[in-house]
Amino acid sequence: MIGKLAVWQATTQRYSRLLPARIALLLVLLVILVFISLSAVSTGAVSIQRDVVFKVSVDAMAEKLHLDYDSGLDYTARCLPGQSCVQRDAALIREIRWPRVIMAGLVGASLAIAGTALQGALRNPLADPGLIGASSGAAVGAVTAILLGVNIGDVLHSDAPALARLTQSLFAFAAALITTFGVFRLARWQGRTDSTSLLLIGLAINTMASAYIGLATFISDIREVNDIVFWTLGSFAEIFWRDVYVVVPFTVLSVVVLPFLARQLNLMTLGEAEAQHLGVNAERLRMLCVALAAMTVGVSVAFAGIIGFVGLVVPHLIRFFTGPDHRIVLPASVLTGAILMIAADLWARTVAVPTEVPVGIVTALFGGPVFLVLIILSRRGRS
Amino acid sequence: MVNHLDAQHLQYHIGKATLVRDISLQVSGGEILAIVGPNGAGKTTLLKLLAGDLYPQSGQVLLNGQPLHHHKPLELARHRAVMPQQASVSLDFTAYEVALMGRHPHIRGSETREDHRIVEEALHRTEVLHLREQLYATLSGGEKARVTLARVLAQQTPILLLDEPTSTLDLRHQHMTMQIMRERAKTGVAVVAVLHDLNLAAMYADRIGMIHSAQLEFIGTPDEVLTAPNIHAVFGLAVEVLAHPTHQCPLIVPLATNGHVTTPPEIGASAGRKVLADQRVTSAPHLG
Repeated sequence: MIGKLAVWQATTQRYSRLLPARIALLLVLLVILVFISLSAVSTGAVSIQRDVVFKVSVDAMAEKLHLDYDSGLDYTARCLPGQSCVQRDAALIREIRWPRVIMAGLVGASLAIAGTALQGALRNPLADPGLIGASSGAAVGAVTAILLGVNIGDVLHSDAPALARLTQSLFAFAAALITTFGVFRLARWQGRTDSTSLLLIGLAINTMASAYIGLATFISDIREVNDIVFWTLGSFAEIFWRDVYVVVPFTVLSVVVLPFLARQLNLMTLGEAEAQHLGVNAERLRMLCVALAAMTVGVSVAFAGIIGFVGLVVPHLIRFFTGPDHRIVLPASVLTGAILMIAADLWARTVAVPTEVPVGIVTALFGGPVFLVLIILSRRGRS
Repeated sequence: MVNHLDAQHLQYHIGKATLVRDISLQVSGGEILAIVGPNGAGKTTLLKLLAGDLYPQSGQVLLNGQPLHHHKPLELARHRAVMPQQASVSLDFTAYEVALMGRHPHIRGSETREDHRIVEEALHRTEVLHLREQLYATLSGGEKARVTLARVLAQQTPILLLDEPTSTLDLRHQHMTMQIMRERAKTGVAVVAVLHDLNLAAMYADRIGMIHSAQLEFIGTPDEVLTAPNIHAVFGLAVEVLAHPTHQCPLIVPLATNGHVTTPPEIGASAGRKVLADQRVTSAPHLG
């Protein structure tokens, strides 16, 4: 009896230590996220000192929030040609670097949380936002817009280049939703959705999409090919605040809603029927996860193009360290996805100055080997 | 609380194959109902209908007088727990975490000390407490079954539906499982268990339902149902029914002729169909 009591206390203690450990992990990831964001903003073709970045950012925030605060940075210093100066740096930081870094963070977080939710809801560790057709569908939409040469600017009698991009983004988002819905609809049979056929149908749709994109590349002229490459390999070039404002609500929706489903996603690992026996409406949970993933990934791809591997690898990476409990895996993958994407973008735009490497190539370049190592290590850990 | 599961004229078919044909049965708190029958007779389908996993094409299941599908999933999960035939877990959860999942229908927010105590107790009762930190996926089949049983017990429901809970267990743990069911029944729980071992059913069940070719052929006490003619009609096996030496129940012993218990079916004729034909002549008043 005493032995049993001791065992019970040991387990309770272990589980009571779990929460502080998880909060600590999230805090550490948050600190890394802030640090890498500041580094990313200060690094680039023009290098800016980190304290200037920090002060300019704080001033900008104080201004936005109407706070009476001034870092004491002198914005009026005269700019000499060919030299870095506060005035020019501040504009660069506020209008170019921050939107880009924040967008990278949002897209990374979106892809990672979508991947985690899908792997849980579909009970398949191979599930990835790309596999349910969201990414390739978005690319097909954007490529179609490029090929047809449609532009909202024509309707609005404006020739702003931003409107051409916006048109492509709209096409991409719509196509992402339509494709995911189509994949989901095709996988539905007698009122139930079978996860395996969902993934197989996604695979088939992806193959058709790459054929379409390949064909489009083949028949396009050089300028169009450049645009198509942007969509298929991903990039955060030419991202401005207005793009960030569009993406934020979608990412926030997923980041806020999905953690509430964490316990239900845990139960899904038992199997659909078993989850149902424990009170989970499995079909609704899966529809909700797929819908949220399609929306967040669709809008991410619409602005940044297809960026592979983050949605697949990040959940595995987190689970390797924390175990499979979605209550920690979901929030941790949000932060880790953001960190990794900001780092990938930083590398993509600084490694071959003055040109940029498409960020999708960077994520695949690093994601592939990391995934391999994870698979081998976790296999060793099990046997 | 009244624990009563009432199946009325259940009918379930996929395409032309009828899996459950006009089955009616009741089970109340305090009793164990064992469902026995040959492979493919429709036992699992019947259990799925009782659990609410499948909807019957006609007939209905009443839980405490209310149709099953009128209950929300979470509400249903507080009323009945289901132990599946085999349970896999797709991610690397530990045995303890898997058992803790049984508390889900009762947890508001985060699990309490009470939840942990219930799970510890369930794992202790099914004799797998020492495995609690091991990954569920690395356990043996029988250990998995006992962890799953602990999860089902931790759900603390007034109705338990078990699909072959003992099929992967060694002799000791088969009896342990059935003893746990007896303890639960004593506290007012209604238990429905699909069993293959007729002797296990004879020892622990209050009533036995014998299913054959989608129909409930016999239902009653072990003494009424487990007779040599019934078993021969349904399983196609000659047996002798003895009295158990230490327990008030029948003991079924297969008989051998010329050293063979079963004879291979003749080519072209299915043994099952032949038995069914016998069955219809002897004791089937209702033909489907």
